[in-house]
Amino acid sequence: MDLKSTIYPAIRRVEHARRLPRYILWGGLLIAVLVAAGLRIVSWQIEPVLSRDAVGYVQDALNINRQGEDSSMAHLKPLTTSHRLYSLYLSSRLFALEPHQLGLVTNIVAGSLMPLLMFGITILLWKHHETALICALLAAVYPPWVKYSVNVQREIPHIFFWGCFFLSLLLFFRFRHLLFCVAMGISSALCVAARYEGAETLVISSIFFCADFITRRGRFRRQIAYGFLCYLASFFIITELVFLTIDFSLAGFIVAAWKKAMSFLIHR
Amino acid sequence: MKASSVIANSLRTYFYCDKFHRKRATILMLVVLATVLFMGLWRFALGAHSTRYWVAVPILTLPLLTHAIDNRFFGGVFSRFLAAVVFIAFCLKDIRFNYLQRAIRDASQAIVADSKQYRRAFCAELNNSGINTRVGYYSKLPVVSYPDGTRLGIVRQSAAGLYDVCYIVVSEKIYQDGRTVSRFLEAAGAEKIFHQHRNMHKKKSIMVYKLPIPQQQKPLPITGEIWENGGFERVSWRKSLGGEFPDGYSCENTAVRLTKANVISGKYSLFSKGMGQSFLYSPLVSPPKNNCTIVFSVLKARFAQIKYEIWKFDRHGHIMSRKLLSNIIMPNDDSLHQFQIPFHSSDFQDADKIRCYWLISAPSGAVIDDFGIYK
Repeated sequence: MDLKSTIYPAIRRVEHARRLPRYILWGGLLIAVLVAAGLRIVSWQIEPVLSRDAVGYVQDALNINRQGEDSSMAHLKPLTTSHRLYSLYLSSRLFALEPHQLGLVTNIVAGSLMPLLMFGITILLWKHHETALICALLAAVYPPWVKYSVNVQREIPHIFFWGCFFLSLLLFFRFRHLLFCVAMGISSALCVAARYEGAETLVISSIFFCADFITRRGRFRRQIAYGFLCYLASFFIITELVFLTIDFSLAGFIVAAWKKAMSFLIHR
Repeated sequence: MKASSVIANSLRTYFYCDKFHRKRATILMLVVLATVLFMGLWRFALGAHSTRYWVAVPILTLPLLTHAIDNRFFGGVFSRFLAAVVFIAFCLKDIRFNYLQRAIRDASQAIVADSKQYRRAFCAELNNSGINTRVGYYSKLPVVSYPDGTRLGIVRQSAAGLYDVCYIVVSEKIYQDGRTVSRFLEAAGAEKIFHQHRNMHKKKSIMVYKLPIPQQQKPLPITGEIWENGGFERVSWRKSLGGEFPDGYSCENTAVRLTKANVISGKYSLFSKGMGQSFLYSPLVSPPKNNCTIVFSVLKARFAQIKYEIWKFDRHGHIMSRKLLSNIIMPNDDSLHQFQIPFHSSDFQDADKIRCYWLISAPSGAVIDDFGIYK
């Protein structure tokens, strides 16, 4: 089955799920996104001071950009390995933006798209327009997400990729297309890159695949097995690529994470 | 009816939505619940108290909450009313803005405006109130944190000869009685240049004080020999450090090494370079019986943060306490500077042995030499 023939019926199913007229459904969703974006922009206008952690990331990014130069910012905080990926991203000058601008734009955009992800997740779970729309509206104004969206922090990329991961997971179980597994692996890897807690997505996907594998028979089992392999392969490839940007192999990352976890457990 | 079937029925009633795939929908919901449980359990088990660790959990709990409100427990107008209440509650929380949050930025701007009349200025944060990084970022001046807010002497002696003025940033969150701090700082010759509340309840405020820094006295000669080999001239091979190192001295990583280039005096000096903190420490010695001045020289230490501490040890070699004597970020200047740190013997009477520690963070390097005491 090609992707086109999967996606279009999916959209049609979303529209036909339950009850709400089309203009209310898509209009409501648009309003949720606009409310989310507006709230974040107003919030940034009124509270423009970066948090302590945000300043740390921005300073790290500035230090990366100014390495080897005589700079008035050279006295600032040294680089820290645990946040280095995020600092590297901020220092990338994507769209010719300064680190703090890039962090803010990314977080405001990703935070404003969260209602769409939540809508997708809810409608795939319950196929109910009204519930999904309410969930999207609540996600648009959920206070911790708004708070993190107007700062240069890693939480919003983390939840955004978490949401993408879960949406892809549900899409795979609904439509059985392997591309959703690839999307799942990519978003899961980026979720881990944003925050290490994202590693829980590996366990969660395993729970879902196991549950589905146990309750299915025949060709479905083969699909599930292929899907899981596809997910794992894309996850490890993307993780390796992402971590190679900081000269850090996946094996090194796993060993470091294991050591950190052990030292945490021992010193508790 | 069995308890298990009651639970199964209630779960099915709660989650049931697709009449054609009733069983699968129930299984899916059970798996979603198991996922939420797993996410909560591992966070509890690892003691993840910060809200940042919990930020992904609402991705699953929000749909569950919405489903509970909208579909299962209530119906019709009341469910929509309940959803509206939750929505309004979230919005009210969102729009509870702190209009005084700009205080940190305003304080930094006040510092920048005032510092234009001086050649070299730096900021000091007392009692680690957590605003130092932001003051440094917005003012673009070096910021040093001091753990003890009442010891302005350390601020002065650390910066003597390096800076003209120090801006002390005080956050009233730490100091419950702001007047005491004001009185103390003003008695020490500090002038208040900024005061603004930080939150809408006006229970926190930021104050900025300007403290003039004395000019440094003439370089002092080394007259005492409490710490031998202070010129780092006597060296030997150290297997653990992978090279030669001054006898009696050691360091906790290899960011500190001997250098023959850019020496301050003699044949060798010590050179440290690295963004992280390097520890250099002297031999264990008995504390001097009388008051004296500890001196050491630093060259080409642009933007290096140099902390100097003395650690007290008991007769068994166990550490008793550590005392910070100097903490400063060097200015954007390559010139030679001699640190002159007063040593009060009364502070170390109860110690059997003492040891000096340098904690150096030098992004573009720092040369250290001529360590000793002046009696």
